[in-house]
Formats: sequence, C-alpha cells, structure tokens
Amino acid sequence: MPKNQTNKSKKTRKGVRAMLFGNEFSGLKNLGSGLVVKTSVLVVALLVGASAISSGASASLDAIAFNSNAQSISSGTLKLEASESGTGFTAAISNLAPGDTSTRFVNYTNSGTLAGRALTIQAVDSTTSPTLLTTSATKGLFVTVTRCGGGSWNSSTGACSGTPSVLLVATPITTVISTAQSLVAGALTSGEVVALKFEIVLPDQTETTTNGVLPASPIQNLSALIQFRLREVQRAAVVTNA
Amino acid sequence: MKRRSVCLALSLALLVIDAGQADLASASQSASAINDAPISVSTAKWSVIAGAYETSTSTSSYVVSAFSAVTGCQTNKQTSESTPTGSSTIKFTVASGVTGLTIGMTVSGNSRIVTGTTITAIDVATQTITLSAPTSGGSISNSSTIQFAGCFHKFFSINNIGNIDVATIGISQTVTTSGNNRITLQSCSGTWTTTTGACSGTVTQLILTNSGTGSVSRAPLSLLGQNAGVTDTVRIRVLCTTNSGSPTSTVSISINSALNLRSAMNTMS
Repeated sequence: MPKNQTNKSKKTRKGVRAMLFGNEFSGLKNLGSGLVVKTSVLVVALLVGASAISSGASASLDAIAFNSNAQSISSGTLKLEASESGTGFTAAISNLAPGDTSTRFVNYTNSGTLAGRALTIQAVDSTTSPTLLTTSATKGLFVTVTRCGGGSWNSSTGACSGTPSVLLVATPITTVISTAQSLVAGALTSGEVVALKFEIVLPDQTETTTNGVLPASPIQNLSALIQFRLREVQRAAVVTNA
Repeated sequence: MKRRSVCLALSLALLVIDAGQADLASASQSASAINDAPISVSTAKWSVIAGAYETSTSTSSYVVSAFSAVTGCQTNKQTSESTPTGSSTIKFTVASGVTGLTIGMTVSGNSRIVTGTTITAIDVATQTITLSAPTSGGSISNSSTIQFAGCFHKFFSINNIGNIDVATIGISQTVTTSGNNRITLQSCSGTWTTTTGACSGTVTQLILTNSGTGSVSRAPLSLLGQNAGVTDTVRIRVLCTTNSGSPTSTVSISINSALNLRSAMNTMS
C-alpha cells in the first residue's frame, strides 16, 4: 500500500472515530477531503440502517378498533322432556288377554331453545330374559302411537281436543326394539308439545289351557319391562347474516 | 433424515386436526326422553280346573267315582191316558207332571214295562216321558201308577285358579260304566242341597253320556256366569242311574282364549 494512501486511511479512521466517539478523536478538522466525509456518511448510514432493521423486528406501528359493547354469543339448548298425562308409564299393565288394549298418554315437550326435528321412538325390554311379548312379531305386543295435534288427550275418555293423527301404525314392539321408528320427520319448534297416545295391544290369538296346564311356549303369564325412548335431533345448522 | 421425520410427523398432525374439525362441523345435538322406570307389562293366565273341593288347585283331569244314593229319589206318577202295547212313551196327568224325574231314572210299577227300562227323554210341555224299551204284553190303563227310582250322585267343583275372568268354559267327560247307565253333569243357577240333589234355582243339563265309554265336549259353555272372577267356583252334580259296576266320570276343563275368556278390553289411564 502507498504511503499517502496509508495516511489517508489513518486520517479517515480518525475522523470517523471523532464523529462517533467525541473530542478525544477531534481530528475531524483534519479531515479535509470529500472522500473522508462521504465515507463517514456511508458508514453512519449503514450503522443507522442496521439499527433500523434490527429494531423493525421488535416494534411496529399499530392501530386497534374494538366494539365497546361486547357482542353476546350464546349456544342454544336442545331438550326433550316427558310428562305423564294421566297415569302415563308409571303404572303397570297387568293381566292382558288376547285382544286387550292398554292406552297411556304422555306429553313430550321440546323444551330447549333450539328447534328440533326427526322425532323417533325406540323401545327397550329391560328384563333379563325377554319373552314372546317382546320377541315375537306375531304373538307379541304391538304399539300404536297417535298425536293429538293442537290439543290434548283426555286420559279418561281417550278424546283428543285437537286433531288426532297416527304417527306410528300398529307395529310389533320387537320391531320398535330393533329399529328406531320415525314419529315426526319434520321440525319441532322450541317449546312445542307433542301430546302422544300409546296403545299397547296383545293381538288376538288362540291358546287353550286344559285342566290348568299351560301349553308349550304360551303367551299367557309372561311379563316385560319396557322403556320408550323418544329422540330428536337439532334443527339443521344455519348461517345468518346481519 | 431427522428433518424428514419431523416434517412427516407435522403433516400427519395437521391431517388429524383437519379431520377433527370436519367432524365437529358436521356433528349435531340430539335430545332424548325416556321413562327411566320401565313400565311393566304382563299377560294373564287363564286356568280353570275340576276338583273335589272349592279350594282344589290340582292341575289334572278329575275322576268322579263312588256315587252315593240320592235321598228321596223315588217317586210315583199317574198316567193320564191308556198306553198301548209296544209304545215307547207314557203320558202323565198335569197334577203328577214330570217334576222330579230325571233322564236315566229306572221305570217300574207295571207288568207291561220291561225290567230295566229307564227314562231317555222328558217332554215337560206334554207331560210325557220316553222309555228306553217299548212296553209289551198289553196296554197300560189310564190312571195307572208308575214308579221311578235309581238316582246316584256326587258333587265336584270347577274352580278358576287363573288371574283373569272367564265367561264360559269347555267341559268334557269320559264315562266308564257297565249296564244301562246314564251319567249326567248338571249345574244349578242357585244352590244345591247335596243330600237330595234339590236345586234352589234352575237345573241345567251340561253333558249326558250314555252307557259305556265315551266323551262329549261342549264349549263354549256359560257356567261360571258372565265375567266370573278369579277364585270363583261352581259346584257340579254328577248324576247316574245305577251304581252297579263302579261307574266313573273323568272330567276335563279347557279354556280357549278365543272362546271362553271375558271380552277384550281397552283400558285408559
């Protein structure tokens, strides 16, 4: 390296040191040439730029807007509640003979805040060893479900104050046990009451007892413990714009 | 290699998360109502038996034997007209009537009547009886006295031991006897006097079986009364015309759900 260049470099370094670190390096007056000034500006700019880049990763301008009245959001509820109308399912049905019908009345209320739909019924026989009553599609029990639309049932007379409609025609209870049966395919509004009449029938059949001895595989002297499960699902999901 | 494994794991995790979100998006609520306490449903038992007593419960056919003589069974009647020889009927005065006579009773008291003749039919309207054998040897004159005898009987019970009312029953008997005997099952709408066989109401002849062995069924049969209740019982008289040869009657009771039970019901509550 030529001597004069070496000296310039030394001077330049001195000048930068003076700019950066103060009077101790006050050789700025010795920096006569434009090259030195330009170089110093460049270095400062680089340093400032580097500084700006590093501080840009941790800070930025920000603007926030929020609704001062908090948006209330709540989820709906879906409930189906049963209430006896008269005896309902609380009293046993005993000593049924072929052709006998026992009629019970139960109200089901869609008591949640959501509308429901697709009301179904399924039965369970909770005896440990189910008998012909709930296993035979011909000799066993049959069930018919009728709704009193827009009214209610009179549990003493069986009269409907509204419009009766059969939701489930006479169906072997063994079928209702094996597969859920549709009662109402459409919607049930929130708060809607479905007043139902259940007719439980032992179908006509011939069975003879001789001298008090029951025949083989009798329909008589049998029992079942039946639960009726009614189920609805929520209405279809909706997208609302407002 | 290590980096590849990490990437693969991350990708799988994302897929799982996506699947979960898709599931949540399509899931829906359901609500059920169920009678927690199951409703008990039971069927009736229809069971009626024949037995010696009102409290009998044995489930088998019932054999009636060892008949006893009926006190005061013998009676006399006066003919209302001449009976020609070879006739099979005898007519009695209105005053005598045919009251107290029973099919199967022995007929005697006149030489024109063949020994061992019994009554085979009774016509209350005309006060006439039919004989098992025609008269012979000449006519029986008007106002002749004819004697009747030969009553042996025994009572048994028909008991409802089921838990449902029956309206009627089916009944049959098989008779084992010898000679010219008739065994009759009778019911009484009132009460029997077991010593004399008198009935305070109306006697209904249920089954009449001729001599020999045979079986007769009669069903349905109004016997226990309309909708006879559980534990109800009725006394039946078995009447036979002779006790010789140790006659027996084996009685069977049947209850057919289509014929004998009370009418079907619809109960609401």
